[in-house]
Amino acid sequence: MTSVILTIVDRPDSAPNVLAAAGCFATLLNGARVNVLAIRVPPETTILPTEEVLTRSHEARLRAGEQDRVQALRVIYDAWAKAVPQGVAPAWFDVEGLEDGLAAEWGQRADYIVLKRPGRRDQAVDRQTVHAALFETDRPVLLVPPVRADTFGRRVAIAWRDDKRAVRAVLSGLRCLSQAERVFVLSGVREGAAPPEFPEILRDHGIEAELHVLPIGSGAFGETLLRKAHTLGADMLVCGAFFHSPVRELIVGGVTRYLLEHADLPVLLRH
Amino acid sequence: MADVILVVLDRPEAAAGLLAAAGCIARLTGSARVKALAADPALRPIAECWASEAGQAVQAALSLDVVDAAGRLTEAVEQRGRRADIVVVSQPLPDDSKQARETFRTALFQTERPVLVVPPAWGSAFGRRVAIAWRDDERAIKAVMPALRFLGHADAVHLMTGVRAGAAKPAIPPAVPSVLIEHGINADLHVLPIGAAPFGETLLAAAQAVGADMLVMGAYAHGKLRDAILGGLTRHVLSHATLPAFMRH
Repeated sequence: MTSVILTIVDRPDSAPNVLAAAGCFATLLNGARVNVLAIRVPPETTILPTEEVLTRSHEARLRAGEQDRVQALRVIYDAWAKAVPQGVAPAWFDVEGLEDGLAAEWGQRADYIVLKRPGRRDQAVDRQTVHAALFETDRPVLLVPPVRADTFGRRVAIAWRDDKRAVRAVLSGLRCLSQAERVFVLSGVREGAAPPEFPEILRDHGIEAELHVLPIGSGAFGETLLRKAHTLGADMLVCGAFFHSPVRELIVGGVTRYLLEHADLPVLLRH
Repeated sequence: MADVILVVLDRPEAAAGLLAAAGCIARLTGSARVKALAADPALRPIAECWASEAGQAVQAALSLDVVDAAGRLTEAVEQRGRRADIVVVSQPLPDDSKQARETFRTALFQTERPVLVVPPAWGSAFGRRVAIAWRDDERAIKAVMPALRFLGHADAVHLMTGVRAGAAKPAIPPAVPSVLIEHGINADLHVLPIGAAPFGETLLAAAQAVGADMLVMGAYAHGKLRDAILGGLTRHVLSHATLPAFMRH
């Protein structure tokens, strides 16, 4: 069998980064098919039907705009696909539809989903796509930071807490450790609490790793995590993803939200 | 890394078959550690005997933990099952104790892991001819995803999907799903009629007709999981299957 990675490209400025990361990630899986999805927004979804009328000429203009954007993405894809590492099989798909629905539909049958981490100025749709991939597919998602990330997976940090989300993230992360030279376990402890133990799941699977205990204080623990990951020279972070309410947008767990907004290294998340 | 296979040895007469099934999975995955959980210390010699005979051949390191009380077994299955790659359990029997049923349901519904359900009389290898009970929904995909690693080793994969007899012709005819095609798995499509007979019966007969030695399917339940009602097909397969069933909720 071949592993399958789904990645979505949306803007020419971020697409090269995302594709480079997907290619690197495929090598960590010892080769993979990479489904690259470019999504055209349907014109009728861009207006308020109660207040606007979609004239034929406006519709044609919207379609042409989407076509141009996807054409520019295709050029970037072609350049990337020509030079992918051995064992990586790219496939291009150009579809019209809503990004979050397509991410969930295509994502649920992929082994991993690779998406760009939405920047602070990005539109709500980027966040919705990431949320759909994370919370509606049951699959692990690799978030690619806005900085170049095309060699990672050598020094992997695992954000660990003893609960079922972290366990699921680690199970997905274990399959990407083929190139890992060092594995770090980062685990938080509150003042006065018993220190965390080395995770049984890593011992069971025969993974050697260094345990680093970080204090949970008044600041954002996500920030502490990222700082420690950098101090250790980690090039990838594995972490469980949490949300606490059906209104996902509002109540994504603190560390998850921090990583979604600030991570500057590739983060493998799983709900 | 090594895959972790958790085997739940809940009754002595099933132990040898379960361990053999774990060994078979270990061979299919290439590298695995078999962790056995037993409620009864009397199972220790059986497990140790298996480990000494088959352990090296399958390169599977066996570790056995005896959990003293049956209630603790359920708890241990939940905790250890979650961090295993697959959980191997014996098929439920009609005269199972409440406790045994609870342990089985915990494995199937609380671990969020794929579960291999081994029937009492099964004694041979499996994974060469695999049948998949397919419908286009989230559960079926969730079961197929972890099974893909085994399907790559199979000689034949049979995809079985039901179509209601007399129903209007579906807009999209049944086809081998993208999840298999994209992962490079060739499968033969079998369209089975959904009629008066339980679909589970039709499915198991079709699986037998193609000589399947393993069945992959989603495990369905209605209601809250702790006391959920099993879906009709799931229940039928769990009580009638004579081949190992790879299930995932």
